Amino acid sequence: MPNITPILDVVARARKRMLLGQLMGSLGRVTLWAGVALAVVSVATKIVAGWWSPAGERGIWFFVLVGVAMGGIALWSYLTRPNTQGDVAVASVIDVRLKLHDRLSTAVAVAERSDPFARAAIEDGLKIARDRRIMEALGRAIPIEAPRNWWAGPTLVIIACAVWWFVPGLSLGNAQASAAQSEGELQAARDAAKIQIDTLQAKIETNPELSKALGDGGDEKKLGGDLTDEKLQSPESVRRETTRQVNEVSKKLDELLAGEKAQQLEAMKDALSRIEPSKSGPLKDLGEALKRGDGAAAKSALAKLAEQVKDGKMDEKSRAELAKKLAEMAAQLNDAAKANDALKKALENAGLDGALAKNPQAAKAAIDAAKNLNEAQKKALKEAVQSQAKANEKLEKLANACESMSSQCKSGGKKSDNSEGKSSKSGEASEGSAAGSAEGANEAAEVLSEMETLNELMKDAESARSQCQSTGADPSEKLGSSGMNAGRGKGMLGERTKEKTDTATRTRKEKVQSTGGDVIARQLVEAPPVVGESRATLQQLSGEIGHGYEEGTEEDPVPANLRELHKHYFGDLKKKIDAKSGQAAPVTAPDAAPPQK
Amino acid sequence: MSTAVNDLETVESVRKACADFRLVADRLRQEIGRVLVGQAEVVGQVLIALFADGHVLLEGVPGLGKTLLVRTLGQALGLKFSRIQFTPDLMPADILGTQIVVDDPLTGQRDFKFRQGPIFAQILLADEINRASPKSQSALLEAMQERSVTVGGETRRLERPFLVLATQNPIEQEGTYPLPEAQLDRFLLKIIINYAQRDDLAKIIDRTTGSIAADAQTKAVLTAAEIAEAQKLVRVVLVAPHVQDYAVRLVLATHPGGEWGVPELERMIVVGSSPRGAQSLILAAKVRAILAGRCAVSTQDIAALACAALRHRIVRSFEAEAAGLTCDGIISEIVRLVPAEAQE
Repeated sequence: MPNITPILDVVARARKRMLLGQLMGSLGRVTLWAGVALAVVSVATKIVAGWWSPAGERGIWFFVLVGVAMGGIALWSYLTRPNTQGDVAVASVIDVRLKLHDRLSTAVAVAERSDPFARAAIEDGLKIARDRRIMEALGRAIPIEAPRNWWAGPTLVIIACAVWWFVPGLSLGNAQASAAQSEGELQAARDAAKIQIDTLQAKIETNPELSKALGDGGDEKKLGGDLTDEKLQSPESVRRETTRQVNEVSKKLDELLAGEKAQQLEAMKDALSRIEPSKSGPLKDLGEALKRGDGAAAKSALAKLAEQVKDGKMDEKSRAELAKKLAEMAAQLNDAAKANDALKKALENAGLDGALAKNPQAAKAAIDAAKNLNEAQKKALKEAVQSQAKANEKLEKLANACESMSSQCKSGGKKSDNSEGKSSKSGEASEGSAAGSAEGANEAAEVLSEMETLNELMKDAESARSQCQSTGADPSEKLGSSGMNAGRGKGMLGERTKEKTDTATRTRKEKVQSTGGDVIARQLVEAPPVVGESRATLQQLSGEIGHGYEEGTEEDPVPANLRELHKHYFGDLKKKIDAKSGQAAPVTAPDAAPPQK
Repeated sequence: MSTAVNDLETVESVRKACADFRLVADRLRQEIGRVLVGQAEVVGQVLIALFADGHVLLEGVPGLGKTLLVRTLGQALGLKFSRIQFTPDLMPADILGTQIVVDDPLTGQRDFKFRQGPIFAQILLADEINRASPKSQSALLEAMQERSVTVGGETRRLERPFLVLATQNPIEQEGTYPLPEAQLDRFLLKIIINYAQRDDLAKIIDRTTGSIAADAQTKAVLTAAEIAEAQKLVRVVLVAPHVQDYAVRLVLATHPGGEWGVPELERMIVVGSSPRGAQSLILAAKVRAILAGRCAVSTQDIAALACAALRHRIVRSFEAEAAGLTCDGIISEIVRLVPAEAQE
């Protein structure tokens, strides 16, 4: 039998190339079918919600597993392929592709024959197989390349993934499966809401005062309670209810942080910051603590001081010195109580006399009488007056305590020295002074305790509000509802009522009777814009305009190049207003000139 | 042919025999070319049929040189040549010969003596064969298949080689008798003769219309013995099993409704090729392989001769005719669709 090894080598090489090509083709087909299957599954999942939904990480793992499975199938089918490609068949493929006139395949087919024609055919085949060019030609004739439509499979897989993750479900049909899926999502939403509510509740309950302050309306008891309500049957409604409840708490915290207690604390701190503490001596700690507004430290320092005074162990000089310092601090506290700077400024901003700050009753009366303030502004101002009054009262108590201790120091301290032969009258006076000092110290300690409590309350309220904001409270709800400006810009007409929405409690303006007049002015306010009609008369407005003009030109003179323009503008405006109201202008701009046409 | 087929024992002797074969064929081709201008492919196919010991049906419009080709071939081969012009009144006896009464002057007795017809030749030109009646056409059946003639109960062998070259005109259908399938099947190849090309036509005009008409005399360049030896060599040419299988698959593909039929063409064929089709394919392919310098048949040889060997063996359906699909079109489609690679 002739040796046809060179032919078989060519055949073996061609077979390898063909198998690799087949493997790539198989991979292409497997990918295509996988893509089709995934696309069908993805679309079906989107059309029939809950039919099958490995969401999130499970989805990724699902796709990974599908990919691995497809790769495994392709490899397995390659490794276990039936070996149908015999030598003659492979050689025949080479012959056909290289147009060799079946020389190789004939040589392989007749390899076992010994007749001269067969031997001649084998020699022909060997001659071709030994030609070096055959291997190069083989690479061209049997290329190892990806299938023509190899991109179709990966494209389908990508589309399937995109549909899976980015296309929202249509929830058509299969209501039961959909309900099961919804139940799972609902429970997940309830769990998430519970975690948020519990965190906020824990934050509030760290301070009993804060809990008490927020519980005035009793709403805090419902915090998280409505989440299991039968009406809340969708994750979205649970989230909305959670947001609404957190907004409620946030609003209350806002009110607390802008309320009377906060203003009172602020006024006290403001007043105490004016104190000039002694740089040495026994009053140093107390003075510094008061200046910082640190109630706890001040209380401690005061107790220590009261103990020193009570012991009476100080020498005469030290007592005299301490008495002097205490008297000075009492004077400073009295001065601070009388300063009322913040209130004075607020009153002046509201167009009232700043001196009214010294007399709360008169200030309240003046606020009531003020026509340029709306009800909310009046209320805010009255609260400020009230807070200032309370702060002053407490400052006075502190001052009294200092004065009492000063007196006790002057009188010699504790009444334990009767045995030393002093007169009984002197002893009684000393006893009275000590009793007064102790009472003053107690009052001061109470004031400082209250101050510290308020400090803690505000700090915890601020922390809870931050928690609310991080939980998702609507920050726009806080606009226009804090500080001394609370209530401003809410319009002058109608009472505001609270309206419960899906996510929050919003302030809604009540409808009022319209007088049918033109909208003549709008004002930018620090709050959601409220647009309405004014009932102010034109005459009143023209007076205000004229007044504003006078003030403006006095306080901030108009530049020379704009003066004429200024005059003409206000002059024209005034004339038009007067013409509209049909009256002679009661108030005229002093420098207004007739318009030049 | 210097190398006898029986002496082929070595590869070199095979190669030499094949080379001699090619030389003979080239000689013959050149001799024919001296008379016949162009039509190289037709000449090549006629030679294939000659060496394959098969008959040829030439089809072409008048004036393309069919008769000239056959006459020239007969002259170049140095064989006995006869020509029969088929006409509607041609009788079988006019072809085969007849018994005639002969007076013996010596004895004064009368006796029947067989007078040979024109069929008793080695190269027979059956000109316009479709003009004769089926009865006369069928007179050729035995001669073509058995190479013998039976007249008056006596069978007479025809001298080998015996080659029938029939011609027919495809356009004149009136007064003609299409050959029956049995007769067609006996032709090894059906060769279509097309119009001459521009250069060939110019040469033809030069040779036939000049002042001195070319009167080329064809010499006999091949003897009957050489032809017989060449035909023997063809029989031993190697056909690998998978190549033969390709020929078989091609023939089976012409069978409507068969296992190997081409679904797209099933409704286009009424009758498929007989086994003679496969035999013709292989024989003709063998000759083609030797002429191409190979000593083994390839699938390309078979594909190249598929139309010539099969076109007269299949019957188109009315649907195919209505669709304008010719037999050649059907066979070409089969060749395109049946894979040439070995099928295991």
